[in-house]
Parts: sequence; C-alpha cells; structure tokens
Amino acid sequence: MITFTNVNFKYKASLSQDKTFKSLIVRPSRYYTKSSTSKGSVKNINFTICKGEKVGIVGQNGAGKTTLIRLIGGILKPKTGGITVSGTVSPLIGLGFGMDPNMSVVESLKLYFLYRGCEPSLLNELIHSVVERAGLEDLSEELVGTLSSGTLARLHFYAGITIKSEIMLFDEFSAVGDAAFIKKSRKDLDEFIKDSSTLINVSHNLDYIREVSQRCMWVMDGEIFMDGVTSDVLEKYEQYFNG
Amino acid sequence: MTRMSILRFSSLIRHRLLYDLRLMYRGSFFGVIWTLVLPVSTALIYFFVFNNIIPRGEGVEIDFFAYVFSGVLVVGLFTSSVLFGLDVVSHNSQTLRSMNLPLLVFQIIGSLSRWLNSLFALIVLFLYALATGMELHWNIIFAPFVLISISMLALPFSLLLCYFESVFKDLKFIVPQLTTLLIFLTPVFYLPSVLPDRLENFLLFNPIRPYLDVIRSIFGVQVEPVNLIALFSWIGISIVTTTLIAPWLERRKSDVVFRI
Repeated sequence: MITFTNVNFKYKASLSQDKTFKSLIVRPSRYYTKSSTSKGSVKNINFTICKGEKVGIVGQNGAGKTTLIRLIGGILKPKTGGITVSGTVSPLIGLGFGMDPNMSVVESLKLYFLYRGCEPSLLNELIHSVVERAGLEDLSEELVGTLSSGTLARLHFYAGITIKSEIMLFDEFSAVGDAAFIKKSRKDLDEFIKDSSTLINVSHNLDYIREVSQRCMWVMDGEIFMDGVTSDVLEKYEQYFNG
Repeated sequence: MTRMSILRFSSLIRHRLLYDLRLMYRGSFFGVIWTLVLPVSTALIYFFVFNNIIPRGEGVEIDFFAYVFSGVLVVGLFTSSVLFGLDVVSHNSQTLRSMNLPLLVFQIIGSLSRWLNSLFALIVLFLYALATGMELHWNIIFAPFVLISISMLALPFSLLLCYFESVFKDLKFIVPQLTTLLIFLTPVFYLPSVLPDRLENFLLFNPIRPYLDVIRSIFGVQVEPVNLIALFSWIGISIVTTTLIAPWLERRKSDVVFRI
C-alpha cells in the first residue's frame, strides 16, 4: 500500500546558476530570487494506492509525473508531508539506468543487479536469464558502449523486468526493438505486468495505459487534477488536449 | 544511515571496487600491473631527485627518499579522498537518479578505491625498506590500518564537499588550490625544523600530520616524537563527524542529486 499525505516537493536550482557574479552585476533582482524551480515540482499530493492496484499516471512534460515516481521509490524525499510505502519497490525509470559503457554486458548486469539489492548467489542465474531472453548470447562479453542502441534497449528492458518487486514503478518503460522483437518483448512485459502485485505506470502512450491500468491519475502543474477509472480520466485528458 | 544498512551494500561495494580497478587500466598494455608500476615509477623519480638533485641538508641522518615517499603517500591519499567528494554525484548521477541508493555507499567506494591504490604504494615502500636494509619493526602490520584511518579522516570532508559543491559549483576550482596549499603546509618535502616558529603552531592543527608521523615512524624516518594524543583525537573526530554528517547528507540527497 502507498499513501501520500499532503506531499510537497520542489527541485532546488544550483546557487551558481542563479547567483553568479555575472547575475549580481547584470541582473541584481535575479540574484536575490529564491534558488528553487517549479519545473517538475509537486504540491499538496494526497492519494492511496492499495496492494494489487495497477495505476497509470498521465500528464504533460514537466507536470511532475517522474517526480511522483521518484518520491514513491524513495529516490526523492518530500519537503513536507508524509509518504508511507509498504513492500519492496523497484523503480524502472526510462531505459538508461546506470550501465557503464566501458564494462562488458555481463559485468554491467552483475553491477546492475547488485545496485537493485540482489543476493550475490543469484547473480549468475539472473544474468543468464537476461542474456538469453534479450538474445545477447553472442554479445555477452562485448563492452556495453559498443552495442547498437536497439541492442542496448533490449538489454535494459530485460534487465528491468527480470526481478519482481511488490511495487513496480515504470516511467516510460515499454517494449523495445525491431518489429519482431517488439512483439516478443511486449508479450514478456504483459506477463510481467500480469504477475506484478502493484504497478504504477507513467507513460505518454495512452493506449498502453488504457490496456494495463484500471485506475489513472492525471497530473497537471504538480497537482493531481483527476484521479479515477482509467477510461474516464483518459477521455477527459484527450478532450482537454484535442479542444 | 545505520551501520546495518551500509553492510547491506557490502557485495556491491566489493564488486564495484574490483570493477573500478579493472576499468581504470582496461585497454592498456600492462593492465592491472600499472597499479604496481605507477608507484614504482613515482618512487624512482623521487629516488633520483632526492639523491642526486636536491641536497638533503646538513646533518640529515634519515633516508630522505623514504621520508618524501611516505609523505606523498599519506598526503596523496588524503587529498585524493577529499577531492572525490567533488565528483561523486556527477560520476554516478544516472544511477543515483534512477535508484534509491545512499550517497555514503558511493563515498565509501571512492575512499576504498583510493586506499587500495595507496596500499600498492605502501608495498613499494616496504620493498624499498627491505632492499636498503632499513630496520623494520613488527608494527609495520599496522600501516594499512593507519592508511584506512586516513581515508576515514577524509570522509567527512568529502561528504561536506559533496553537498556544498552542488550548492556552490565554484568549489571545484577552489578546493584543489586549498589541498595544494595543505600539501606545502605539511612536512612532505622538508623537515619540520625548517619551518619558521609561527608556522610550527599550525602543524599542531594539521589533521594529516599525526598520521604522517606514524607511517614515518613505522619506517624509521620520523625525526620527532609522534603526537599520539593528536592522532587518537583526529580518529575520534573523524568517526563522530562522519556519523553526524552522513545522515545529514542523506536527508539532503534530493537537493544534491537533483539540483537543476
């Protein structure tokens, strides 16, 4: 279960960016402004997500969707308010999480699973599973930096869906590859989602949200503008943008 | 940040250390052998300079090569560990932005990596001592622990830099200058007796000095008695401040990692 109570978060701007020697001379008014930015911030967020719910989050760029996912995942700490998360959490944010281009595929996967808190005794099994499912048997000793972007996306995708947690957080995490591989990876993703307990899915792909989520939140300017049954929320969301 | 939660990441720390060591020399002809070749070549340069170019001074009885090399080893370990705090977020930003990992884990990896490199230099110094017939005592087994306590001394400085660099980017230009100043205010290349009286008082408050003195006394090149009170005080201070600063920084991780 996930509970947000009056949660507020604001990103801070770098002091040097706002308060440089140049800005003191050229624009003194800017020098004395607060060093924070409203982009991606969230304000007064209240919701409860129960165990087993599959929730989609939609909204424009910079609305605060990824911030919400990061707050649930514990990557960000709220400035005010309370967050309660019961269960293990796996945030899968995009398809580019921390793999060093100078490491081999196997080394990268080993480190990636350790980052995600896996037991060292399970590493070989997990790595074998990713390499096999992503079709990278011949490339397992290649450096990550030498892989094509499509192959790299496959590697990230299968690394992401190899370990299950009680709460899965997807941020623009979707099937990848060429036409044939998209079909396979979509099937694997569907199975993964079906077996997942709680899923929170941020995406701009409304059909995908409609397909996998029973509940949807529409985030606008850092606030939850609408929260309800997916079909209702997406209908209003599309109407809003299509005029 | 509790001790238990850091122990949870021990496998990660161990693997990351090994990978960093391998990655550093990947693609080079000698590979990991560089970890030994580099301190040896540095030692050879010092040996040449301090035995052939720079005069030792009147009445200096100690092995000046071992004196300078141990100084560079200790001060180098401290400054590189402190300066790591300036880069820890930028080097791991992608991972820190997508996973909930404590900043202290990355700081510990950086400190241990520098400690490992200093161990290789310590081996070179030990081999030199054996080759030149220097009198070695059983207390040499404490040398790696002295080095790890130098890494611990650097940790609170590094943690503070990690935060303040995100607030004030100019620190990445200022701090290296300050560490250079610290190197010259520490008796690395000279004997403490050459300092004017007014600067000698500063040496009492120089945190690296007691650690340096211990390493030098282990290798028999220490010219003054070791100030053990200062040593244990700094060890205590470094443990207490790290215990206080690490959770303080963790609470501000969002500001450090995601400052726009």
